[in-house]
Amino acid sequence: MRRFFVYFVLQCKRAARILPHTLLITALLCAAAALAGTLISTGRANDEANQIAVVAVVGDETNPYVRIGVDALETFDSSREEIKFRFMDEQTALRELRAGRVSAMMYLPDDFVEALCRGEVHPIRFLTPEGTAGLDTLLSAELADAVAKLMTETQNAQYGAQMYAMDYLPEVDPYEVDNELVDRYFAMVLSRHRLFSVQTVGLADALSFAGYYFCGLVVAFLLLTGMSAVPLMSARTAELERTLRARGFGAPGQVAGEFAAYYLLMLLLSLAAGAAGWFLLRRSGLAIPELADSAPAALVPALAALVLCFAAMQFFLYELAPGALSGALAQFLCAAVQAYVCGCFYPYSFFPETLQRLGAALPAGAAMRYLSARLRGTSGQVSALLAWALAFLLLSAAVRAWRCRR
Amino acid sequence: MTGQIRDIQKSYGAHAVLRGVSFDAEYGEAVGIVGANGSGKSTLLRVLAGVLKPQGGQFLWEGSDLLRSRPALEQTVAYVPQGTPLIDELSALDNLRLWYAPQALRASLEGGMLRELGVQEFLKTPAAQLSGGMRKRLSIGCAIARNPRILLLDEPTAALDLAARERLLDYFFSFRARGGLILLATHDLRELSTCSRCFMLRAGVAEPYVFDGDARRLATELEKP
Repeated sequence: MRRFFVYFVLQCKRAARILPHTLLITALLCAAAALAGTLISTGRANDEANQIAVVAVVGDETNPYVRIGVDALETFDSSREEIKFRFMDEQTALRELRAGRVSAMMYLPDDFVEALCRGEVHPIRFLTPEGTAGLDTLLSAELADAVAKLMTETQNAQYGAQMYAMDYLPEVDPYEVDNELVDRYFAMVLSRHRLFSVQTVGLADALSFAGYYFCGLVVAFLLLTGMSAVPLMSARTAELERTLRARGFGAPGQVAGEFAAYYLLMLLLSLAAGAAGWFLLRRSGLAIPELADSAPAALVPALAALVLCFAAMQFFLYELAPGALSGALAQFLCAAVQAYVCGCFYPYSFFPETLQRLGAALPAGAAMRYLSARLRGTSGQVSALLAWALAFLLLSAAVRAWRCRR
Repeated sequence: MTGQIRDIQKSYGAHAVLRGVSFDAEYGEAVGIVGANGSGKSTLLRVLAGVLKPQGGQFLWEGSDLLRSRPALEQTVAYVPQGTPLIDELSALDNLRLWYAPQALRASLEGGMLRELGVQEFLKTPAAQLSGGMRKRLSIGCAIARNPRILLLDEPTAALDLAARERLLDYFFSFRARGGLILLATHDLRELSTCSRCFMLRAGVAEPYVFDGDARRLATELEKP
């Protein structure tokens, strides 16, 4: 036990020596994360290449009013994530939805248009596949935006009609025309507040856009922090490991001592970056609804759990990598792939179902679920993170023992 | 005989490196182990140090088999590998702290083996900034924390300058004078000249070899299959 404690303290000293270096790299990562956040919040170029979600529309394609409505949705599309609408029959749409080739299905009842003309509401149903993190929010935002635009345009048309009546219909009272228009508008349009009902098949994350991307950026940042520890983790020598083993301090003890110090370093860096990020978030005025009423300290336990999982993963990667360059490369590739597949950059519901399952099974997927749950105010499944951390540490000890025996 | 190495066997997969190495050694001896590259010199030392587990064999010291008694092995044997098993970012003193209890470290620095090795000259210097000779002395200093009776050295003076080499060899003489046994894997003629006996590892077994200072003869012997 004395040996373990001394080894741990010495590893902490090593970590302290490289702290300025790791802080510098962490600052660069923070700057990259801030830049990414800014780009996401200000929106991307509105070109075809950005079309990343396809929604199947089931309904009477021949009805001109339905076509106009769908065209309007596409035309008014001003969201950050573009949506393409495709008409399909119900069976095809369901098949495509299950295969992950469309992100959601919009079902228009047969008598939708006729009911509208009667002033009745026959709700449109949205079907989304299981685990559609972010898509519900995206669709809702999309539709809300379209409806807002429709109302504005309608208002313009009303004013136009009023002015027309004043200029060319002197026999009628323009205000009466206006009142009648407004009455009809209220009766037929504004009463349609129940026009859409979003129906989710399975899990829904119920996070706001900002909340979702906050989770994504935090997870991506934590994944990348492993690169900042290259000087610490790549300077180990096999001779020292073998000698320690020869003196009765085996691979599990070595890994435990080194990991404890590495975890403390990463936690320290993450807390520092978190504090800086919180400060910048407050200064920038960007609003994350889920964080509006919470103090930053409330997220510290969640951060500690996330760092534990990722630090163990990074430690294992360094254990596998033979040198500094390969170590840094392994960290970057692992971070980039996981961040992409697990939905840190795009809601993962935009990916095919197989990829979604893969993403959910990875450590970053578990981290996204956990952080999302914490943001929603629920406790989340920390056990998945702990299981990953334990698995990585056991694998690290196995690799170390194998290397000592070579 | 106080030290007996009996039929040590070690294979890496299907490749047998040591096929039954046996020899004896006495208190105060320095036994040189020579052999071509890849003949198994380092493997033999690692087996005797307990780093590698052999497929068979015994390392008897004063009647007990050290390979079957881990505490006795750790107490009796010190192993200094070819590279330096140091934490480069830390000072020499911090490196020593890993191996020594605080009181023992103080005592050894004030008048014990560490003083003899001259480690106190560079205690505050980070290991990465030490010269090759200093690093080797520090490595040996770390290895002998438990006052071992047997020192296993893998090419201890390789790449050291003359002064550093002589200083280390002086220490080896002093270690032997106190009754310690040194097993030395080496190619170095100067090191071999200090050994009381030599063995050549060839085809996985140890053959007695009389070193007479003739480098050409040694080279010829090493080239034989």
